[in-house]
Amino acid sequence: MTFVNVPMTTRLLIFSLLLLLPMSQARAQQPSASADTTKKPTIPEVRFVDRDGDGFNDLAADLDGDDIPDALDPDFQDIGADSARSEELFRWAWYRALPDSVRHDSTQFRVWWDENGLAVDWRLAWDCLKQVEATYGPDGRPRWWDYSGFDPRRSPLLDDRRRLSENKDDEGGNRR
Amino acid sequence: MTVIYMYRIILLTGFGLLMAWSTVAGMSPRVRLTLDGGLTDNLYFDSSATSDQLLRVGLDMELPIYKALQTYYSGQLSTFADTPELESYDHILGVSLDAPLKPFSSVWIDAGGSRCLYNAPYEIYKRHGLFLATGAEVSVASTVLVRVAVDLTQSTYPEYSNDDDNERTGEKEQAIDSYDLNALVGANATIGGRNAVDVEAGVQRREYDGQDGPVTTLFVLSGRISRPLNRYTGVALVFRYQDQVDLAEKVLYTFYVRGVNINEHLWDGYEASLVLTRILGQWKLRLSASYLDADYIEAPLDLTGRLDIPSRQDDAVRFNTDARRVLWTSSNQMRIWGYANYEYERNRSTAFYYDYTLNEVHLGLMFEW
Repeated sequence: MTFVNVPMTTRLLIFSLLLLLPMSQARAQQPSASADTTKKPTIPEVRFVDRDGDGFNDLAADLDGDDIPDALDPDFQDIGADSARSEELFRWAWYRALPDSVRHDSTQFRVWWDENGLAVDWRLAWDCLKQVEATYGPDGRPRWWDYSGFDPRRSPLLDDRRRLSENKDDEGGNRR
Repeated sequence: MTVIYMYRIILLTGFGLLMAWSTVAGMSPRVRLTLDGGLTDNLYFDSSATSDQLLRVGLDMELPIYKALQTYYSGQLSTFADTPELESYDHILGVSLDAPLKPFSSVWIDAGGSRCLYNAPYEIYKRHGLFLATGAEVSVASTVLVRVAVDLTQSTYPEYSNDDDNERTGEKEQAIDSYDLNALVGANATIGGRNAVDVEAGVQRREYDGQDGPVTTLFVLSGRISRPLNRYTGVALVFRYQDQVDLAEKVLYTFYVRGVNINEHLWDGYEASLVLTRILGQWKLRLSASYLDADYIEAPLDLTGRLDIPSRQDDAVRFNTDARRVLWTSSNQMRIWGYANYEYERNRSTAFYYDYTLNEVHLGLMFEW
């Protein structure tokens, strides 16, 4: 069964539960009754990676690919009004919150899923996970050219080498 | 029909077939078209302070072939309003394989050919070559990524000869080949929450075939620390050190053709930069300030062959501002970017020829689909 074949009501249920997952984790970490219940639920940031050196998290969701993290993007201020984007964003965030150890092993995934007390059949969630991977790749991120041409596979040194071999943009000033 | 035309036909036919296959297989090619116009008051980065207007048109295409395998083309036309003879065409055609191993880990291979064409009197810069690069990035811990890469490039300069006797004897110019081998290892780690540290060390070795050129080995060490200052602002400190380890106590003579150095400059030294990135609405703004200290291993000769100053030591200050945003986007990921860039550089040099100031501004549009 693939995710696209799942009825819409079930999909909405899945994503509602996915949204509740980080809330439940947060509650588990804060047993005090004085927890601030007025705050909006947020997806935990499990990693901070900055490979392009701009000081922002490369893994922050940027669904429209404009190089502005969605959390800071005016385009996403009204995301609640766009159910398709909202659904996409929650899928993304859930994927990011998933531990590496359970991403490739359905058995471990099932254990993790059950440990988190999620009522939805783990197989549906597993299908969802595989679809996210197929869409975005193993990093869970759309592969699209960065404005600066930065590609995390390439290193600055190799980029410099390539430019130098073309006799342009070298550090010594001979840039034509 | 010459061999060159046959190569062109084979390459274009192959690329066309791959594009057709990519479309039929439902793997959409990705295309980026860049239009860049600029003004500079120092075209050659030297004391001649030649002003000009620049136009660059770039075309980049990625064609998925099968899963992680793709072919790509990158081409660029550079033209200059007042110096039309400096016009050049760059083409790179390659195939790359990017095989993911697990999240944040992959192995990649990149191979292809490049060609750069110049008109007279710059035809000696014409070159074509082949490159093969491979590397890997592996996540060794949840916040540590280690990378390694090796890159081999062969370049042929078919019109180049440094044999002065050729001009007198009228003999055919000799082509020379250069071979570059680059190897590096680097790591990117996040420490203390949101402090990203990136370090990289590498060597670049170049040797020439067909002339008595020097074998040069460049050692490069670079580092960067970056972190968010607040929700909308990021900051980075960047340092780069390089050393020509084979050329200690040596002096290379460098020749020029109408303001352009035929070889890359060789220098020892370092560059340090402070970079601020700010998100303002849908704009991403970048401001950087750099200081460069370079001790050149060359003795620049002027256009008459007269020895200028036998040692060149530069210290330069650079400021660069950049602003960009998506101007328009469609639901199927078509985008139009707009950007503006301004650069100022003040280069102080013991060689008068290289004592200069630069102001350059660029405006551009990028179309992606």
